[in-house]
Amino acid sequence: MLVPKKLKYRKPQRGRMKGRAKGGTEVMFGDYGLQALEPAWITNRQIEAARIAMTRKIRRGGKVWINIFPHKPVTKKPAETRMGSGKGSPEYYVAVVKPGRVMFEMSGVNEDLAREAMELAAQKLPIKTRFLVRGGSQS
Amino acid sequence: MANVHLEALDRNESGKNAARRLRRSGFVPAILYRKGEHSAKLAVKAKTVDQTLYRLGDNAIYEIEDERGKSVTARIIDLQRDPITDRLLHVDFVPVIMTERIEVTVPITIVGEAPGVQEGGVLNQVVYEVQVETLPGNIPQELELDVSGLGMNENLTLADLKLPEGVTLLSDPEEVAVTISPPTEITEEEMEAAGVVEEPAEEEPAPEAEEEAAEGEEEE
Repeated sequence: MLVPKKLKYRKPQRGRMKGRAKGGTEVMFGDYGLQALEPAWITNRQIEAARIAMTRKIRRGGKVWINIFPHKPVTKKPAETRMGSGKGSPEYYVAVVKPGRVMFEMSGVNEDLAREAMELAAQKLPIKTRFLVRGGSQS
Repeated sequence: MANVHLEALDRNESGKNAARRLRRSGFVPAILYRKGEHSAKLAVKAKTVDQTLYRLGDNAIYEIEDERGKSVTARIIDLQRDPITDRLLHVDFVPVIMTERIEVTVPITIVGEAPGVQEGGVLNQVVYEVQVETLPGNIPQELELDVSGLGMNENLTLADLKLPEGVTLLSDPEEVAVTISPPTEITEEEMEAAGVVEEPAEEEPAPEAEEEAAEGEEEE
């Protein structure tokens, strides 16, 4: 599972996810992409689940790129703990994704198979997504 | 490729409110860079630019006529789009001199059926666009790369591109553009070694998703 090698701060503030993605909004590496249409924190487990779903579908050939990385630690207080006593401990890591961001890319397979694989991956994510083809059509 | 006539309005206001008002009225804010002078703030019809980009690609040459009837030959050097709606937000024009050669980026399109693909290989396009030098009136819309003679484990370089007369390739001619490689068969052991294992406690998919996943597995 994707985990940062080192962290500048163990317990960062949550931040806001306003606006749209200002980069990574086009298919750059492969032929097809999966674009986020909503803002969300995508956990490293969700990224891994999506990747597995895709690689299983395109078993023969094909290449997958993951364009997002879970840089941000998320803290959580243990269950049934009283408030106070400081911030909880880091539990998992998330990638901050804004609308427009191309999260996954794929190449080496035909469009139908890529679309099916991306649909399976999209089911593992907590946001609405869109399938993209390099240099054009959106659906 | 004939030049596209584009009527431009002078844009006196700037800022997001003025830009939004413009976009609502069917225009898109634009700027025309000029050598040794201040850039001109313009507003152009969004529909005309969008249709031209669709028909003629990014390297179309425009004849921009301002409100005073003065005409400038220019091309688009940069444009911004909304990543969700794909709507044009801003266009940057740069003047061109029709007798002076310029550097442009031209997309590559693959034509033909490769015998390597029919044998079960996977066609990988490595390079999608190339840098060329040509006269503004001679910019090709796309460069074709014929893969009809390409077998398994073979590749084509940028030197194999068919360049029209007067067009010089600036990108590295030895750079591999297209390859055909045998499909990578992923076995269960490899999947497990890579950490791709079934995780029962991973996530509980919705009943519908579970059914679909089951169907997908049956198909495989």
